[in-house]
Amino acid sequence: MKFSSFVIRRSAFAIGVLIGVSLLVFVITRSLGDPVTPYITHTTPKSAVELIRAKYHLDEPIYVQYAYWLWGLLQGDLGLSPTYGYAPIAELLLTYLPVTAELGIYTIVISVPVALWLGTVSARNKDKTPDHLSRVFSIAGWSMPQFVMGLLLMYVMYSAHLLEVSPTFNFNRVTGMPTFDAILAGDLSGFVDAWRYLIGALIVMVWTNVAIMARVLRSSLIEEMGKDYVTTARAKGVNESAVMIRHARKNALISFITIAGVSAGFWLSGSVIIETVFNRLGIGLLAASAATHYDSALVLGFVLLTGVIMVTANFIADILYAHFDPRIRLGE
Amino acid sequence: MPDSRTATQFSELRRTLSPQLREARRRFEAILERPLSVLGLALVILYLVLALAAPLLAPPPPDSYDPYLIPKVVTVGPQPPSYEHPFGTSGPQFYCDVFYGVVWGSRMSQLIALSVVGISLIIGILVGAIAGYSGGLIDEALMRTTDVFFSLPGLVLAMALILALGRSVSTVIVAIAIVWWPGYARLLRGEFLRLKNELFVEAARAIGVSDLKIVFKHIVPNAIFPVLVVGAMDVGTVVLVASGLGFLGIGAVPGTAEWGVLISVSRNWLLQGAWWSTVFPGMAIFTFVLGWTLLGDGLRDILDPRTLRAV
Repeated sequence: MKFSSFVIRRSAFAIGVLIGVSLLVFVITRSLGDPVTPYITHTTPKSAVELIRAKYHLDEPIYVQYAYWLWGLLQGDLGLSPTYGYAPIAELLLTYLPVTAELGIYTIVISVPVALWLGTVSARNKDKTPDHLSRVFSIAGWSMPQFVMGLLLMYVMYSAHLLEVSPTFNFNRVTGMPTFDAILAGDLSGFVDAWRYLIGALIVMVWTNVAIMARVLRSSLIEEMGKDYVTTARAKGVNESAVMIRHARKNALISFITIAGVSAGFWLSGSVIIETVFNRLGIGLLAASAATHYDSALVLGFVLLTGVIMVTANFIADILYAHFDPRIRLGE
Repeated sequence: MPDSRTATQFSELRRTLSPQLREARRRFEAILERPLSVLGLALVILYLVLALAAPLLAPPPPDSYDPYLIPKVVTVGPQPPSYEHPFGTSGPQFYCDVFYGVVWGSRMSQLIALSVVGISLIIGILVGAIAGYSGGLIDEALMRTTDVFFSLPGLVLAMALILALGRSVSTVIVAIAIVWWPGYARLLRGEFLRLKNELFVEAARAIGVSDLKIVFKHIVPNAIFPVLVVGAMDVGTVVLVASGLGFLGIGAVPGTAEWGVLISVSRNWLLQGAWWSTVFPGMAIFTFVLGWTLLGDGLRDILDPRTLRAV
């Protein structure tokens, strides 16, 4: 299959999944009660209710209602949030997104090299002490709930005055990411504060990510090391570390791409937990507090955004994968 | 003479099963040779015992109508571990005895995890079997449905589902099960695709065995193994999600003996120094999940027929 037709097929699939996600959210929305309720109060006269129902097309057949609802979504209409003074949900999500994005950016920038190093070390020393240590680190990383890890870290770091849970920043909001805004404003103490606000959440996020990534890299490296081309390289007298880093790791890295989607999921569900622990004003905390206040429109807005991000991440990962490994699209 | 007939049947059964029994024993012994798997097995058994012995270890007060509601211990602030309250108390507003919460929480966690895995296994096996055996449009429709579920992280989707279902332990179970089944469905479908053209299936079809019987008597028993192993590993993961929901305050109601809820109700006191109400339930979740992960990991390596001979 040609690369372009692979991209087209994969895009069609991504759009199909997004439609599915929107259907799922629509079903949940409608199961919450009469869709007209958000538009009326107890003083609205009975006669007006039917007019309002007609105005928002809520008297049409259900698939027409879905079409109107979807059309609204595409124009960025996610509804209003009662817990935030009836602010438009799309705007709320955009305002809170940068803090979550900041955490995601640093997580990727730090996790990938750390996982590369850890995965290589444990593959090179398979079933020896470094491998066992890395296994313990990984198993602990995914058996320990993120909120427990976060709370314990917070307890220790807060006692040592390393952590800030509700800082006040004096610099202007430009990107919405405190560490970057502080640099732009040239505010050194603000920069330090922004890092004290970030560091706890970052450690938890990096730990869980590295735990998965390093294991995946380790197993694909070990698999590559058993292949014929590696034996050939060894037979030619290439030394062991060059075989691993210059030959096997390049191929093992391809499998690394596949966990991008998993990482995106970790980032989003992790942000709900971690932002709640460290009081970081991102979309995760927004969704978690909306859920405790029964603000269903806001939670569902977050679910939709999550779906879009996940589908995009998986799409990009698959395209990269097919680019680096042509067997994928030929096998289709 | 029903007795002697049962006896003959039994010895006959044992003879036909003897290769399997030998195999099972070899596999079990292989588990015992791996220290990490032994640790996992020990932890799993420990929590099983803890759950069964909960009424003895932390007897609910006589007037309690629901043992999963932690009896109140009213103190000014959270109290550190003492002889009377080995894991301390949580203090205002819910005044929980942490030891009681941890002990009954182990029962609660196993109740949640086993129900979720059980329900999702049933749905997943049914859907996977239908998709894998029928193929074509039905298969396509079912698999695209699972794709939708896979595009949302479990915790996020469960949060949204709980909105629609309401907040209680049973809705947490239902919500997580709805999130969980697609994994099993896909796995089983893959096994079905591998098996459905095998000779023994062809043979059954040739002698006129009905589709239903082919699926559930011939293919499912051969395909179910990897699904069950993943199910065992998931027992821990389900508890991670459930306790996460409890911690966020959208799972079981505050005051319930659930580890995540217990941590959530005492969170405000942590930075004042009340470490015990986070550390004890937190370590309970960690060791519980660790146990099932290690055991599942060991099971996967040992029970996989392809690696068995190498063990």
